[in-house]
Amino acid sequence: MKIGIISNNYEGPVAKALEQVYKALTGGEIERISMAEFQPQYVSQKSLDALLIEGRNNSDEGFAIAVRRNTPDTTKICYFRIYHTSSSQELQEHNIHVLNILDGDLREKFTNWMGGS
Amino acid sequence: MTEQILRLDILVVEDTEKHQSSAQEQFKDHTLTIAKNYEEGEKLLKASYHVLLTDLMMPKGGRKTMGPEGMKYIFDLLPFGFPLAFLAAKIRIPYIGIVTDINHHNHPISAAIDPISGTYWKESSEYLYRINDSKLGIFHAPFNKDGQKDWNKVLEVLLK
Repeated sequence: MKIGIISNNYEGPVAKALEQVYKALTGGEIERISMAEFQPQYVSQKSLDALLIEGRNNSDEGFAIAVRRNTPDTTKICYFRIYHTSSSQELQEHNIHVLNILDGDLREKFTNWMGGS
Repeated sequence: MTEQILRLDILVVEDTEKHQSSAQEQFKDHTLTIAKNYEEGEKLLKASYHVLLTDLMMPKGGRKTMGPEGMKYIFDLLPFGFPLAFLAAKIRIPYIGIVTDINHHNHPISAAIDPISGTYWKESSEYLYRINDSKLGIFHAPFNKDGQKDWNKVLEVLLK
């Protein structure tokens, strides 16, 4: 599985942690994509199976929904957030999986998401 | 006698690669700038251009002024050709064309421009408009044999 990690800050701890968790769990290939540069067509151009979006604020939630609306339904999307800034209901209604970095069972949740449909 | 070629400064705003390519091929004798989305086009648009040729539907291309609600639509193809055309008229770019490749059976906005564009390709001045000092045309695109937009044909109609 090839995953795209979309972040505004690759030097920050969250993006780095995401990469490490993903590599440890799956050993799969990672494509780093800046949030400002991302285009929906990258999913097919770079043969991405899933997208992991680092969410930092409400605007990033809107961004995640825009990504969902413009990528194939088969592309798995996970919104990985640091803070509980708002309800995750709307994201989930758009079939976006939500993970919180402060969740204690993050590893299990991440694995379930990766393995689920 | 050598024919004098008019060298124009042209801005094309177009998000589809094959139509960008035809602009590059057809406007070799002009000074061409290509913008790939609305925000790039808006940023590049300045009064020194002689011609703006813009696609109708394109993505916004950035996050400028967008809040959480607006962010949801930043990748959608929206009819940004109209605000770009009016912005060009505001700064008095002489020749402006909105050119769509979308068949009117395939999108409501394409069908909606039928009455103001003459439906399919027509070399008629009936569908040219004057705004400020600018001449604006709205076109269902003519195509070359490779299915690319024939920008030159549009330009010829505008310059007549």
